[in-house]
Formats: sequence, C-alpha cells, structure tokens
Amino acid sequence: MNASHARTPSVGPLALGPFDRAAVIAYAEAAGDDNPLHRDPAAARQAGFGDIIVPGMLLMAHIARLLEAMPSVAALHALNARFARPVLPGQPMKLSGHAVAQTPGPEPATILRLKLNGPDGLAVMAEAELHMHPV
Amino acid sequence: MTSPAPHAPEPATMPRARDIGRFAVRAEAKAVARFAAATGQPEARGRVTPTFPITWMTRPDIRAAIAAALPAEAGFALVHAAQEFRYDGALAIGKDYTLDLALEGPDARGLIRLRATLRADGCNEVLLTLDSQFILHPVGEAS
Repeated sequence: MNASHARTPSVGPLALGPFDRAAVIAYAEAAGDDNPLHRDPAAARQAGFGDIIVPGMLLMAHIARLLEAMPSVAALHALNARFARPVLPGQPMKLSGHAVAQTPGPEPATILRLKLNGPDGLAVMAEAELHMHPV
Repeated sequence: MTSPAPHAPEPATMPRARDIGRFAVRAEAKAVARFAAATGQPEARGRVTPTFPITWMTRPDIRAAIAAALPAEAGFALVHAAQEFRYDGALAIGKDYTLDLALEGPDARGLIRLRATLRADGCNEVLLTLDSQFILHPVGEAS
C-alpha cells in the first residue's frame, strides 16, 4: 500500500500578535538581545521608529510555533525568513502561505512559502520545509 | 518546482568565509523554559524549540568573537536581515554540543553572513546549521 501525505495546500490567514512592550522586552531578555531598539523607546525613536520594534526573531519563533501546531506537520526540517519591515508593539499581523512543493511517499514533505503581513505591509517573508504525517 | 527561496540576495562578491571559533554550547533547561515562555509556548519548556539556538549567538564570548571579526568602524550597528535554521537531528536539553562559526563579509553593500554549524560533542554529524545575515547600518538612521 502506498502512503500518501496530508496535503497542506495553503496556510491561514492565521493571527499573530499583537505583542505589547512587555512581551517584546521579555523576549529580548530571554534571547540575550540587548539591542536598545527592542528595549528602549527613546533609543528607538531616536533611530527613527515610533516605538521599540519587535525582534524579527520573535516573529520567526511564532511562525515556527504556528507551523508545528498544524496537525498535518510531523516536524520542522528548515525555516528561513527575511525581515522586510519593522513591526511595532500593538500591531496585529496575519500569517498566510501556500505549498510550493510536495513530496509524497512514506516520508512526505512539503515546502511552504509564507508571508507575515502587518498593518504597514509585508513584515516577514519565509519558507518552511516540513516533514508531514503520512495519511 | 519551487520558486527562488526568500533569502537575502546573494552578493556579487562576498569576501571569503573565515572561521571565527569553535564554542561549547548546551541548551540549559532554565534558558529553554524561559525562551519557550517568551515565545508563546510555555508548554514547550521541556523541549528545545526550533529557534532557541539563536540565543547562543548572544553569549558574551560568541559576541566578542563576532565583533572581533568585523571591521573596526565606529558608528555602525548590525541589523538582522535574514535567518535560516536547518535541522538534521533533534536537540536535547542538557546535552553538550559544539558550535563552529564562520563569517563572510562585509561585501560592498555592508552585508555580513554568519554561518554556524552544530554537532553533538565528539561527533562529526551536523545536527543544525544556522545562517544569519546582517546589514552593517550606520547608527542614527532608521533601518
């Protein structure tokens, strides 16, 4: 009997955030990131931002979390992200995406192309390689 | 098949990669739990979540090695442009690993690529590769 995998043709849109200042600072501390852009509103404003900015890596961690929570996903093999635009505390985001490649068989795999959009547009572009559960 | 992946563009001429060190790392339980809580998954405190390894890059000795390998120019900050994690094995809390770091750049556009390769202590098999891309950004300008 040939195994086939659960198809994941599209993702979302899934809500992500918004993050408040406390969440941003908690992440920065947990990650050891002392960049003042993520901790000090005055430093962030001086650099031209309206507030501290949400670390791209916090967004990436949440993207990974959302992907791993998908019932058809067995494991995350690879995740890459390009940080296109800063996100500020209080800004809600939506993650959406679609499969660009799927490998059937006893160890099915899917490659997802993802976009995380905030109120100002595309914040993160990502691609995930996923091991899927056979159906 | 796939369209080109959303990586930061390959520079036309990237200075050759240079090794900047080998480091002993471990996913400590307390750090793993704190990171899991800070990334919206407190229930995952018992496992190393996929992006946790980025926390090793902010360790003082690793940061010092990276800084020593960068141009000694005042007034620049590193802006994180892109990041990749590629797993070939699961990581475990409390296990010893070695992290090999290599740095390329900066190129003419100020792009720096930091490549990290993780292996279990004493083993040759690569468990994880991290590819971090940064832009050298003048301090005082918005990214």
